[in-house]
Parts: sequence; structure tokens; C-alpha cells
Amino acid sequence: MDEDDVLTTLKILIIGESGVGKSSLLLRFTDDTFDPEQAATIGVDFKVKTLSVDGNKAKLAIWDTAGQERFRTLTPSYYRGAQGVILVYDVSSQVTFDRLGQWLNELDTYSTKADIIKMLVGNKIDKEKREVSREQGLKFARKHSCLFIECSAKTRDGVQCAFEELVEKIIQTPGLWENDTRQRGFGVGSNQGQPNEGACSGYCSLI
Amino acid sequence: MASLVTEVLMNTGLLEKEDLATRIDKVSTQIGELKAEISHALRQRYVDFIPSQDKIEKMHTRVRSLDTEMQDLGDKIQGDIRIKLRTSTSDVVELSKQLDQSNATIAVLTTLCKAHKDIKEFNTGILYEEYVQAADILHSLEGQLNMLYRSGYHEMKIVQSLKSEETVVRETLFFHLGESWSKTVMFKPVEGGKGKASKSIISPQLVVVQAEKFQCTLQAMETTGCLTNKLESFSKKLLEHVLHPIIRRADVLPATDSNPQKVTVTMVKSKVEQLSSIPSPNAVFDSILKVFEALGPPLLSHMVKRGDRGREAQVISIMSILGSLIWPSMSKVLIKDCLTPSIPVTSTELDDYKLIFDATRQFEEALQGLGFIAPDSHPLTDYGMNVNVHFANKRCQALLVEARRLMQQDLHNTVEVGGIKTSADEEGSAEEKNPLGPGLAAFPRCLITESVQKLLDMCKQTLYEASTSQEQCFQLFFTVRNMLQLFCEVVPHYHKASLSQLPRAAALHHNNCMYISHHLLTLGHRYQHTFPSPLSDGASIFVDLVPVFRKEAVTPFLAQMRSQRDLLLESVRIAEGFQRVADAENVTSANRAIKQVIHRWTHLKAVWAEVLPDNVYTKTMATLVNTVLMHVVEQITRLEDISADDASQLHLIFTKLKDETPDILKPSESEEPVIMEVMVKEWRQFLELGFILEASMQAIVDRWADGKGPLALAFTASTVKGLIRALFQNTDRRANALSKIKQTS
Repeated sequence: MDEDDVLTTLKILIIGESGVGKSSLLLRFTDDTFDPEQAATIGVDFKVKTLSVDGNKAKLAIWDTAGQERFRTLTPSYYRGAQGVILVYDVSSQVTFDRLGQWLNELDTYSTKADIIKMLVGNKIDKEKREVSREQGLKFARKHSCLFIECSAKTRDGVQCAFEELVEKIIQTPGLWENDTRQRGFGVGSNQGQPNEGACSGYCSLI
Repeated sequence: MASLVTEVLMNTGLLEKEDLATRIDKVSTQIGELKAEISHALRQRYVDFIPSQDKIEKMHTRVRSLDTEMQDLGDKIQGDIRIKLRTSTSDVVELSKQLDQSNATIAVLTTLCKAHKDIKEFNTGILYEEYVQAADILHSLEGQLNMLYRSGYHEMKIVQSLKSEETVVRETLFFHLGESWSKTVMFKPVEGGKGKASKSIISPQLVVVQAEKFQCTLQAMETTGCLTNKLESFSKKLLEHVLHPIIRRADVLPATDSNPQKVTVTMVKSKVEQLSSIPSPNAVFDSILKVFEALGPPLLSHMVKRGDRGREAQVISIMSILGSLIWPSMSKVLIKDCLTPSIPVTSTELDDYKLIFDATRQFEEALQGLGFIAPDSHPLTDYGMNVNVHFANKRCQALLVEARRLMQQDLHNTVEVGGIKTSADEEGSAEEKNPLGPGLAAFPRCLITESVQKLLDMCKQTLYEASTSQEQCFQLFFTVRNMLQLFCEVVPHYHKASLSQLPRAAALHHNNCMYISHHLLTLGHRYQHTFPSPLSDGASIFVDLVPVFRKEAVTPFLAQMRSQRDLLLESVRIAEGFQRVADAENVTSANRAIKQVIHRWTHLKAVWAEVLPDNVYTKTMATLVNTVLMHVVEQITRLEDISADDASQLHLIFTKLKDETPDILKPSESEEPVIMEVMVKEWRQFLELGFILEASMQAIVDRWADGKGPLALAFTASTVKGLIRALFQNTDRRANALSKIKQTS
């Protein structure tokens, strides 16, 4: 079991318009498979993968959300506690790029961590007909302080890299993950309510 | 000069001296005289006074004695005369009393004599059928006896016997009068079995003999005061046997036969088939007049003198007495059984009613002409004048009756309503064209009962009618409101059993009420502009009834849902908490439980999917499905030991539920799959438990993912730990896994 030397568990969310290849991206990353006929995700999919970055092992709890509008009422609860988010668009579809703003807006609305790391991913670079240029993507990423990468789930190009860079950045960000873990550990100790309880019982016996 | 003055002065002095001397002399004489006078006067005063005083005192004593004497005398006189006066007054009173007594005695004796004479005369009167005379005599006899009684002679033997004699006399007279009456006025019962003719006669014949002396009898009856009683019983019979059949039965006609001896009124059943059972007012009026005219000469036209002693006698006809006796009830019967049914039901027939109204007026005029009723009495015409009101009353009543009939129809026959007939656009495009699309305020497609459709049509029609008629507008408008309120009162009670027992009926009732409330939102405004004020000013609304109907829609349906939920949970209970489901017996009971649940869901889908609007159906079913799933999940998470066989058995059950439910939630014609995660609240929890049942320990730990996985969203750490303990044997690996399941956040 390599469980024990895992540094931390990170919650990663994949969001983006319907059909941009979120599930394909995930499956390529976790199972190294690709299905051209990948069915639309209902609600949410979930995968776990352990990733080693700079000698640090991190367990990724990856939530693959549904892009379709009619499933979206469910998403808010999935945002809770996420440390990283992969925002996917389709480089062969301008519309998916244009809607990124709305996705960022939703993220801001529901995310519980202020310094959540955002990774903008332009998928389907294998396609010949490109509608969104690399520069456009880069510009958008800079503007919204996101990491940026272009990839293809079909050809495997850039997929691994996207996750690795995101995790690296999360681990490098102080307070985002250790704080999470430490605070939790600390919290368990201090939040037992000892002083409170003592005070209360003392107060009670006094009466 | 001075010497002259001195001289003069000296002269005067001298003169004065001389004069003084004389004067003093004079004065001294005068004083002497005055002295004498005073002494005389004094003497007179004091010497002569005593005798006069004595004299006065003497006189005084004399006056005193005289006074006493006079007083004595007065007293004496007074005492004597008073006594004498008293005795004389009582004498006079005594005398006058005696006079009175003798006068009274004479009067009594005269009265007695007269009474005796009266009785004698009475008997002869009776003998010669001089009833009027006899009645007068009886009257005077009564007066005399009364006088005797008043004078306090009631204890006298003769008076008592006279009294009883008077009673005898009275009874005799009554008897004779009664005899005379019944000889003249008769109700002859129909004699049965006398051929066809008698069969068609439905009630006793009225026979009145033409008798000359009947007038006397009537007058005598009036004088003795028994005429009214007699006429009262006669009028009852007349109503029962003659007038009521005429008014109430279309197939009965009166036949009158008048000859010099007698008049006969027979009620004959007509041989002609009548179209309606209610006679027309015209025929009734004719028949009544015919009877009265026939009865006129022998009975009703007779006149009697009526008047109390002292008051002026008035002459009235039997007809008018009879009229005053029976007209009040007869006019009511006429209105109730003859005129009311003839009131038209539809507005078009209203004009034809004029003919009947004219006939009614003529009838009353004819009755006034006969003297049957007073000239100022015309209840029938009054009734006819208000035909509009009666018409509206009748119409509204008919509407309410019809509405009630519709409400009592079974919740069975249905019609489809609602929905919009636009072609299914591409998603989003319709929204762009018009965000307030045509379907925004449309009623969703569903089934309602035919009767409610009809009821609503009737409401609209009535409102239209109200908007076109000025007089009945308000009444019709409020009838519509009454109809709607009636719905809320009648339906829940009348269909109580089916609403609580039949899910389909409850769903239909829900739709019915929602459909009505949907229409109530706009119903008033549609006709508002043609209504008179205040209805046109916004009072013609039904929106106040909308919440009432919505509540009525929801209440029975929720009750139905609750009872379905109870039935479903009862089925789940067959599984006995899913303990050791792999055991042969338990496997069957668990499967039976799930089979029953799915069967009930399928049944509910069969009766509800078609009836309810799609969204309501899905929501309803999702609620029921959710309840069952929650219950199943709760029972399984409570298990302390789940063997591998149990787990796979449970997983089979879960798969079955998972496969069946999406189809159950899908409304009949909808193509789109139902998103279970959205509709069924605990769907994720159910799926996660399904995952746990067949997952490895590592998979569970991964899905918990430090509280960042989906399992952590569905269950608490302690529940997951409990499940792991139930599913896996106690090993180090299990302990290790358990240590990873910790509650975060």
C-alpha cells in the first residue's frame, strides 16, 4: 500500500460547456482510455488517482461535472472544498470559449476557497478546424489569472501535464492544502470543546 | 332831634308801664280762671272715674254669662238635630232599596215571562220552519238570560231551568238548521260498480238542492253564528273534492248540471290523454269559474244580514264569506301548483307568458265580479306581475339543481384539457423569440372530468346570459358564485369515499379544482364590461375563490399521497429490515416487498400519468419513490452484519429499483428521460449505498477520498464506517480503512 506516503488528498473539479471533452480528459488521465462515443455525463462522475509531483505524492479526488444545462442544478454542492478546478473549452468551438466567463462566474459564486487554483484547458487540438487560437486562450487565462494549457484527450497530448501543473501549483500555494490538512488536525484537537465544556460544567456545578 | 327821640322814648316807656300793669292784672285773672278749670277737670277725671269703671265691669260679667248661655244652647241644638238627621237619611235609603228590589223583581218576572213566551213561540217557529224567527227568539232569550245572570239570579231554580231550556232550544235549532243544510248541500260519494260512467268520476258529487226556504236557513245560521263554521267545513270539502283536483290534475274536468230542482257538480276524468300532468292556468280558471257560477243561484248568491247588536247590520253574500274562508289558501295553491309551473324556464318563452298573465287578471276580475274576493285582493295578478323575478328564481334554481347533478356524477368520464399546440421548437430558440411565450399562462395538459367541463361551460353561459339581461344580471351572477361555492361544499362530501380510496379520482379532483381555479382568474373580467355597476367596477371577480379551489385541489390529493405512502411502506416492511436477505425465506420476502412496491408504483403510473399534468405527476411519483428509497437505505445502513451473499442479494434489489424507477417517473408521452438526481432527493444516497454494497474496501476508501469524494456528500463518516464493519470481517486492513474514514468540514 502506497496509501500512507500520500501527502494529501486534493479535490479537483472539471467544469466547462457540454461536449468540450471533460469526461474524455478525465478518462485519459485516470484510465488512459478514449471513447469517441463518450456519453453525456449525468450529474457527476468521480475518479480517484494518485499523482507524484516533485517527489510529493498527492491523491486526487476528481469530480467530473455534467456540462448540460439541465443537470446543472446539482453542481453547487460539488464546488465545496475544491482546491483546484480545470476549466475546459473546445478549441474547435468558439461558443464554448465564449461561455467561459459564465463558468468562472459560477465558480466564484460557489467556491469556498478564495485562492482556488484555476487551470484553463483548450481541448481537442487534434482537430483540424480550429476556432480559438492559442493566443486567445492565453490572453483569457492571464486576464483571469489561470494556468493555461492546450491538449487533446484523443491523442493524449498535454493531458498528464495539465493535471501535473495544477497539482504542483496547488502544493506550492501556501495555506491552500496544508492549511486544509493542518487546520483539520488542529481543529479536531481544539474543537473538541474542552474549554467550553469545562466552563459549562463548572458554571453548572456552581449553580 | 335827640330830645325828640328821647321824648318819644320816654313817652313810650311810660305808656308801656301803664299798659303792663293792666296786662298783668288781666293775666292773673286768667290764671285764676285756668286754675279753677284744671282743678275741675282733674276732679272730674279722678273722682268721677271709679263709678264708670264699675259700670263697665258689671256689663262685662253680664256679657260673659250671656255667651256661655248661647254656647250651651248651640251645643244642645246641634246634638239633637244631628241624631234626627241620621235616622231620617237611613230611612230614605231603606225605602229606595225596597223600591229597587221590587222593580228588579218585576223585571225578572217580566223577563221570565218573556222567556217563557219566547220558548213557546220558538217551538211554533220551529214547527213551521220559521228559522229566522226562531233564531231571533233564541237571540232575545239569550239576552234575557244573560241579563238575569248578570243581575246575580243564577242561583234561582227557575233561571237554571230556563238556562237548560235555552240549551235545549239552541240545540234543537242547530239540529234543524243542520238538517236543512245537509238536505240542501250534499257531497254524494261515488257509487262504485255502476258502469263506466261512474268510474271516471273521481270524487264525491256535490249536489245543491234549489230550495226557497234556504235563504231563511242561511240567515238563521248567520244569526246563531253557526254559518261560518258550516261554511268552513263546506269549504274544506269543496277544496278537497272540487277545487284542488281542478288545480292539480290536468285530466280532471268539472261537469255541472243545473235544473230547477238541483245543481250537481261532478268531477269527471277526461278521456283525452293529456300532454302534461300540470293543467294550464287558462283551463283551471275556466273550470273554477264554471263551478262557482253553477253554485251561485242555489247557494252562493244568497245574502245574509250580518251585524252585532247595536251595530248597523250589513248584507253580505255567502259567496264573499266563502271567499274570505278559502281564498287565502286557494290562492296559495293556485300560485304553487298552477302558476309557478307555468313560469317559463328559458328567456324566449318569457314573452308567451303575457297570455297567461292576461288570463290571470281576467280570472281575478271575474272572481271580484262574483263577490268572491274583495276588489282590492289580487294575489295572482301580483304574482304574475313579478314574473321576471319568478323566472329568474326558477332559472337560478334550475341552474343550481343542474350544477349539483353534474357535481354528483362519478369522477370517471374524462376530457383532455390544457397544453399548447405549438410545434416543439429547438431548445432555446423559443426563449429568444419571446421570453413570455404562448405557454406561459397556459393550463398544463391533463385530464379533467366531463362534468366539470360542463359545469364550467354552464358558468360561462350563465355569465353571458347575465351580461345580456339587465333585470336578472345580479341574480344570475351570484348564482354562478353559488354554483362554485356549492362545488366546494358538495364534491368533497359526496365523493368522499372515492377521493380517499381511488388515486385516479383524487387526481381528477385535483385537476378539476385546479382547472376551475385557473378559469376563475379571468372569468369575471370577460363579462365585466357588459355588467351594470357595481359589477362593472370590478366587483365581478371570482379571484377570491381561487385559493379556496386550490386548497380543495391539494387537500384530498395530499391525503391520497399519504395513504399511498403508507401502503408502500407497509410493503417495504415485509422485507423485515432486509436482515440476512440471502437466507432462502428472507430472499422471498425481500423480493416480494420490492415486487409489491414496484407493482404499486406501476399501478399509480397507470392511473396518474395520463391524468395529472406531467410535472405534477413526476413530482408526485418522485416524492413517493424518494420515501421508499429513504426507508430502504435507512434500514440497510442500520444492519450490523451483511454477509457477502446478503450484499449481492441487496445489490440485486438495488439494481432492480435503480432500473425500474426512472421509467416509473417518466410521464407517459414524454421522450426525455427524467433526471433522477434532480427529481428524487435521496437518489444519490441510494446510488452510493448501491456502490458500497458491491465495492471493495479500497474502492470505498477512494470514494470517500478524505471526505472529498461523493460518498462523503451522501453519508456521514459513522454511517460509512458502520457499513464497512457490517460488510467486512474484522482485520487489520479493515481497521486501516476505517481509520481513513473521518468526518471533515
